[in-house]
Amino acid sequence: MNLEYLDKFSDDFSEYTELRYQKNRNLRITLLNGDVVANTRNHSSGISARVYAGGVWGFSASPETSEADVRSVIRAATRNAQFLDSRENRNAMPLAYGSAQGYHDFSTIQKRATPKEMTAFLREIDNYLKKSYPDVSARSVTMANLDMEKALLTSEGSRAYSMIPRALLIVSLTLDKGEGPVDLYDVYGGFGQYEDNFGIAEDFYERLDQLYVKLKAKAEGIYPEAGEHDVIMDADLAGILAHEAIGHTTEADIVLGGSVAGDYLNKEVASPLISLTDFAHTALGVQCPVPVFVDDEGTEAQDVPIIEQGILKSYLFNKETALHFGFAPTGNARASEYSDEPLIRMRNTAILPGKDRLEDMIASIDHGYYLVKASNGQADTTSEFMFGVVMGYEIKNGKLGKALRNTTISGIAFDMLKTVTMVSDEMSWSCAGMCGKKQAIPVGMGGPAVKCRINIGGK
Amino acid sequence: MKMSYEKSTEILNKSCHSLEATGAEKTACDLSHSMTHELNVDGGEISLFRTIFDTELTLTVIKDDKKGTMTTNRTDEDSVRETVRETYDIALSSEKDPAYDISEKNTMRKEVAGDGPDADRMYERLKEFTSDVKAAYPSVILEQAILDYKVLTRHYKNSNEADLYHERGFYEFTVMFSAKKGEKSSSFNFADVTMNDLSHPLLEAGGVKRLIGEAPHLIDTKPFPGKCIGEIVMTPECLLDFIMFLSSHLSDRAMITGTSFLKDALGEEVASPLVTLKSLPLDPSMAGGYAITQDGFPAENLTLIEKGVLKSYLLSQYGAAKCNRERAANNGRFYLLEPGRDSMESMIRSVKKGLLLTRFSGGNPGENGDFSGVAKNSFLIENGEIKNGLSETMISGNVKELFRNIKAVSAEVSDSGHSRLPWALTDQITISGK
Repeated sequence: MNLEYLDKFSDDFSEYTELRYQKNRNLRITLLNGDVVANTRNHSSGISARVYAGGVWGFSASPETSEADVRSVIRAATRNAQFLDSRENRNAMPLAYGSAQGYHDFSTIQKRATPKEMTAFLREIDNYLKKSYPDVSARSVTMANLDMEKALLTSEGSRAYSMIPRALLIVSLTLDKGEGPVDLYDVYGGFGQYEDNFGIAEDFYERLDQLYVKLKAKAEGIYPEAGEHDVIMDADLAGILAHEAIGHTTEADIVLGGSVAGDYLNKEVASPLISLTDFAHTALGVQCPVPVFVDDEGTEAQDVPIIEQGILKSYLFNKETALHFGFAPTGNARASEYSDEPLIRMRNTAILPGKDRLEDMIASIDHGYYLVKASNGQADTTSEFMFGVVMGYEIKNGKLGKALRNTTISGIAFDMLKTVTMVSDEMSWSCAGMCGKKQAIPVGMGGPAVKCRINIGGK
Repeated sequence: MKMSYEKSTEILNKSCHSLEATGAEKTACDLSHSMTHELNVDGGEISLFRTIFDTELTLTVIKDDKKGTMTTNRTDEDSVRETVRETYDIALSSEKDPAYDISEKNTMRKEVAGDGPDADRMYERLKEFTSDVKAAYPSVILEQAILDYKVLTRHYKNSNEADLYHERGFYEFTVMFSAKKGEKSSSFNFADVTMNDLSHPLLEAGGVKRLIGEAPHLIDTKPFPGKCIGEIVMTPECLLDFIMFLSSHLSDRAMITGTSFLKDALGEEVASPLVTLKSLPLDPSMAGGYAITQDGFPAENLTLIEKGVLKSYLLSQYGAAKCNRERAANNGRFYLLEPGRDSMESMIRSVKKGLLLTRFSGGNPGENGDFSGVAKNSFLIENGEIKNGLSETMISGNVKELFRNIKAVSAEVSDSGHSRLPWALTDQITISGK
């Protein structure tokens, strides 16, 4: 569907209105121990309208997109807003923030691969794993692709189209040395479609070898000593920390919901070594994993410097919370499916690199841990967080020692960030971040390695 | 509008005929439709009213033991024709596995009418809820609350002449909250319930009042003193998390790969004799329960664990064929753990040093069942008494051992509409604070 089709309905807007067409194309193929246990496509598309009246919202969505259906959705959303407005009587100010235009189509320019070619690629990967590592007791190879296409027209004059793709290869291996199974996974790919990321299995063999070597080390690994320790959190964990433990507390709707960050604006919340930004589309001159140019309210997306040299500088806003706090909207309103309303979401959140070398950071620790890979993460409005750690190493006398079995780290992020004493000079992005705030949506998370004190689980 | 039986039959018949025309040996069409009316509270105020209609048509083709599946939410003739073609192509691109199959001949038509949607009634109940919370718990902040009424229809047909139809209407209510005093605030917590009607105030549903009422007591917290191997009393909400971990080891993935710690445990004791665990999607009091399994069989209620002995896995038709075991009678969820004889009070009195664990925030347990994470919204128990709320407190253990070590199950249960669970006391948990 193109923007010209949406233009037909601009005369149907009687209040502040956002009209959005969205199509999500998901592909998932999974080989489990060589069997194709999933080979599915899911195409979900439709139209939604969101209407603002007097300080409340109405929303409606339908998969049908004929002219009559679109008009019906606009009417239903308007009725819903008026239903609430007539009962709540808030008489809020209108949302007048101007308009933005954008057209960003990141569809691959290469010849599209067929389903058979994709399955053959996965089969090659699986065959390599089976042949190279006969002691692996279980292996899973998954292709998970998402193309998110959006067209937006608003009553304020915003018109934007985007097609943002992501293609992931997820490999998980399990080893059982008689002491219970031990597993490890890695994810490859990222921004772009299948053709931009994959196609030649051989290109991944070296990285699969590295995954196996780490798994072997983990199978012979130890559990960390429970308690507070000096640790180095590598980029994967720094990124999830930036997103889960800090980023969420600074989303303006969460601030209104009681987040501890509500009391910290312009206060010192971290070591002066820490700067943290939610990037819209480009970071340090390079395109981010999840570029956002115009958000789903029709606001041009801006970078948000959340923490600058340890000082909390800004929250993330949509139009409504920007009006509440007296700031400008930052372009953080995003919806996951056509039937979802835009929420305040991070885009690409990262701690910025420092000046230290990773080797020097490891050498500076007598007894501690180097934590490399996270599984999942959770945090709450107090900034207390928990991350699963699936790969790491002990550090003894400044050198890496044995690998670690699965563990968990936790802490109060705004306290923990004050203990940061070193930040590495290189950063990297996680290619597969998903944020689960009401609606699951792709995000970018990144950072350098960070040396800090942290509470670690164990036995 | 909800989708009528006649309309779904018309779409499915066209889809099935189109699939059969491809020459595939086995085909299946699965049509789901949802109609949702939803009111949202943000920052304590009702702020958004949504009405959403969605459709999901999933087509499956098995050709020469190769399988393809495709889902679309467009059901017009052109879209269905295109989806049929793509599904067939996906199947041809796949690889042979004789375990692929479709369900046997069965017919069922089940309609459980709900009492909604009534937007005025929903608004009144939600308004009453926000007012009740403000009055009874002034320090509590309602970060978000969602009350919705859903009508879900599912219609499944396949080339074995299976024809199953299920319609149900029910309410769902979720609330996320914290408590704040000055610059100090509690961790957030949440409650979720499903209901067949709105006959009672939302604050009285399931564990909503108990959990919100605890929040003000969790503003001032301390870390657990030191480290010990201790006991924990799991709340029903927390127990459900651990049941979900356990059930993942009874399901296809862990069983097919052989990594389940319960893989050879059928008929054996896998939990304390105090544990009887059932999955009851057909129980009328379980609002929103399903009547059709994911793979197109009529669902039945199921006993998973009886007095500690494993009675069934949660294998699909495919998983059962791969593992050479029986297909499960349902897909799990809607759990009931039989209440015990102990009162909650006596359970807490019996704990010398441990936790009342309300929420476990942790990484997914490893394949051997080891878990570690943070005890959230939880309280210290010392010498049989509930003391202060806790922060920066971690717990670790093993899921399998956690169920084996259950020493007491409460007579009291919390009925959330989607599960009915008691409190349970277990030990041998590593607890570490500062």
